[in-house]
Amino acid sequence: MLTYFRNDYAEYSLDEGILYITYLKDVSIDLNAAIQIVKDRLSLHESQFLPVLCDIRDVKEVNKSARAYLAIEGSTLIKAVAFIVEPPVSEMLSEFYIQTSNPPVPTKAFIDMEEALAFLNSFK
Amino acid sequence: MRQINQMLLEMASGNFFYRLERSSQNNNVEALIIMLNMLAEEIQEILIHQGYANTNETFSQIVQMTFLLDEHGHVIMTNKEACNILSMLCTDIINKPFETLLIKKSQTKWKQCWESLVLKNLHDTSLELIFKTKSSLIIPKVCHITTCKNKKEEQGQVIVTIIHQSTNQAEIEKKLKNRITKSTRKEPSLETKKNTSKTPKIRLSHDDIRKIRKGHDIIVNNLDKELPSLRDFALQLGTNEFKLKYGFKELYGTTVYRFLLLERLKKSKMMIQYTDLQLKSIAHMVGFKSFPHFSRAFKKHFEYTPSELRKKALNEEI
Repeated sequence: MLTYFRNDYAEYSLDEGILYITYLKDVSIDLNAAIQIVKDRLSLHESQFLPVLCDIRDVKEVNKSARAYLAIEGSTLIKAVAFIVEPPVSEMLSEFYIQTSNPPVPTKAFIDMEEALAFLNSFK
Repeated sequence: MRQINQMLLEMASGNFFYRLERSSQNNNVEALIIMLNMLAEEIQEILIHQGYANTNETFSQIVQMTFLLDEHGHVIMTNKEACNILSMLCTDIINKPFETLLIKKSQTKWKQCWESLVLKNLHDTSLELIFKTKSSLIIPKVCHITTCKNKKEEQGQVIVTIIHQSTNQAEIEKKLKNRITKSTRKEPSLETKKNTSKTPKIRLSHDDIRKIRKGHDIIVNNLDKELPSLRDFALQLGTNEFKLKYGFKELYGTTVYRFLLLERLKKSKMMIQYTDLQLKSIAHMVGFKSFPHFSRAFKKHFEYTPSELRKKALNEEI
């Protein structure tokens, strides 16, 4: 069973039923990147719905078409998403995304890792 | 700060295609920049979308910038609009290498593209490049690159064209005018039906729009469930069937049922491609009652069947 994966944009690891995605330093996400990110994520799912913890502290930018893809296609097989953010940049980014792209799965941003895990554990 | 002001000024004058360059710092200015960039993207989209939803025709596209390059990649000619947008003088652009107009990251991309272009005789391609204006605002654009040959000249020349979907105020006004004239043309049929005098075109209040948006979100969040009848759905949202039908089309450019179908198909496509769940259960998960029905709808939309897609995905051909 595959529990770790890395591509040009992020590192993925699966631990105790939670999928951790950590975006790499200074990545700019456009539509092609978003498609790759979602595809690689789904390869770890093995057809199961999972809660996802997404560390976006190092993301540089995500453009509009990528945001739309991540919100709709990107929510496939996701039970809930917790973003790990750091004010102000990534916090703003997540707020903007949640407000305007309206992902259809429960999505919340956290500064504190423990709180994020507690949120995700309620969806396990 | 000066750049932010510049960007805001451009936005105030209706130019939403400029962006600010991001650094990797984490501070309030950077947060403001990322918000501003995304805001400009959203507004740009809304303006185009409005054009689309109003006229229900393809949106108009205007050529924004054109550059004619010689065989060394130097600019020979350009148009006035390009100078305006980049806020440079024509003489600043002419005879300079094309890459001087781009940000660093795009310069490498351009060079790679150029090398492959030189090898080919006649070639068309497109490439996303990021332009930098004199006031350091950036403009990300997809460029269309064409090589042309002339019988007399041995050396080929290259045309770079940048198309922009109209955000030009005049263009929007024109569309709005079109829309108004169109709707007045439609009115007589409405009147004859209702037999009332001069029913104005239905107006959606902010409240209506909010309700319809909520309807949209409900649909996206409940693809697996059966949608109630439009009448009941409208009641649930606190509006009426007519407003829901009309407003949904106006806001999203499609009917409620068609939108639902497309979203279901989109979701099923992801599941087929990236999971090994049974096709039958995927059909069920996206709200289809029978597999044959799902398969037919899928084929009609994507022009291949769910099983063809699964087969290809398993063989990693896609």
